Amino acid sequence: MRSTLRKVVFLGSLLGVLGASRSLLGRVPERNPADQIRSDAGTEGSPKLVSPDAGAGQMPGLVPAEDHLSPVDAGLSDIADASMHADAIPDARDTAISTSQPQDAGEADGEQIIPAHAADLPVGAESSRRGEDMSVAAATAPVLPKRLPKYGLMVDVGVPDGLIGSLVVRPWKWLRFCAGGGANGISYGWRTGITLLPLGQGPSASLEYGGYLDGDANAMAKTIGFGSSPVLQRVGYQYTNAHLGLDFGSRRFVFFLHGGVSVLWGQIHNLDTLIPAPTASDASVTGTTQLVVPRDPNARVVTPSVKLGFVVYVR
Amino acid sequence: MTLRLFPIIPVLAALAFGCSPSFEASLPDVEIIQHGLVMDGAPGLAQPNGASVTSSFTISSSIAAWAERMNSKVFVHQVTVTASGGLPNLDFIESALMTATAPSISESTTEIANYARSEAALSGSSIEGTRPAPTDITSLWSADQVVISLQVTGQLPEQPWTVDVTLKLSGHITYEF
Repeated sequence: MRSTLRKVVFLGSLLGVLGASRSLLGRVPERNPADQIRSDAGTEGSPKLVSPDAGAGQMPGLVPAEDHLSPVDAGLSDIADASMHADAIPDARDTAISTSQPQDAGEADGEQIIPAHAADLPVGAESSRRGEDMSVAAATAPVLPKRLPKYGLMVDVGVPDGLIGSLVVRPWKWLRFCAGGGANGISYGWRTGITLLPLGQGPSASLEYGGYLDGDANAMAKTIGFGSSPVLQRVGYQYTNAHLGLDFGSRRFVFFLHGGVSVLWGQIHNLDTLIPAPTASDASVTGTTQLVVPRDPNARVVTPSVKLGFVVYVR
Repeated sequence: MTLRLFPIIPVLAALAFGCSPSFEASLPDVEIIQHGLVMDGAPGLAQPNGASVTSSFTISSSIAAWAERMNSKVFVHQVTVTASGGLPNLDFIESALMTATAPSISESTTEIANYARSEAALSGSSIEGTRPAPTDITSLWSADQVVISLQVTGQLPEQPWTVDVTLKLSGHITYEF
């Protein structure tokens, strides 16, 4: 009986020392996350890899079995189950940043992420303890560049662009292509462009080319206080923008303000109705004087221009 | 980062508004047609070298008012004289000269077209007067009135006759605000 009691006390002491040493070290030896998933899968009550999407305060590493989870954590056990699959590992990596980086760190390009396996923590550790442990893990973990979303949607409004909706492709952080269509209150048009962002955000330079089909501008002229004119019955133009600007944000949402110079060109229709017919006052003239414009004149306008808008990158 | 970038905004604004707007228009083809210009007859003036008569018409400034305050350039490319009033052809014209003058600016005349019938010329109801290069009539264009004179030489009809005169012009307008 006494020897049995000694054995129990010895084992208890041994377990206590082991537990204390693991707590002091703050982490267990690193393992390949895939190996960990495989070893954990199907072991009820054993530690499970969960998506760090598990929310604020939830560590992106190992969590106790469901019977030890809080109500919030318990709802995340499904995610944990889903993450058992090997293809869930990239997701875990992507989301690990949300709990291991400062809030604004996500805005910076070239931000680093902490692989999930680097945040492995002792089973059953307390939440506060997990946070400290994770910091240690983050400091020692290898860093990987995080991929910026490439494709997005852009909406902007300006002069002479009108209101334009575009598809955006960002092959690199410093380069953005866009193409789309819109309206200027007279007719429908299109536009394509390229934007350079040397720093990934902030100062930008854009070149754009677009055009609008012919439309009746008399309604707009009346709206802004001008009279109607036959010359305004067919108004269409093409244009290029050379803009400098500022782009705020770089990852998912970018707001921009661009300004510069635009060149518009197009044809003026029905000009002969605008120019008064010349009058001949000589007695030797029995007929009339007529002004004819067989070919529509070409017009070009160079003007300051500005536009503002935003880009939402979706994937 | 945002606050650090705000000083750039005035620079961008200066770039944008430092560019003064400008407007340019190119009118490649404008025609002024004077119908029914009466030319005097030349009774009893038949001579070996033919007779010569001159007629003129005046264009008021109303046609040029839209371009007067603009930095415009106006050129005459061609003048066409077409028989009218039942006149079958203009084969009797040996030569023609068209000039323009603005009495309010200068008494000097500017030749805008001339014509000389060649021996191989075909019979026709119109003649075309050209010059090697388009004639700049910008200064005349801004005058209140421009007098266009047509002088023709040849074996002219004894009775008054009429022609239509077409001036083919081009213009380029530049305006900076």
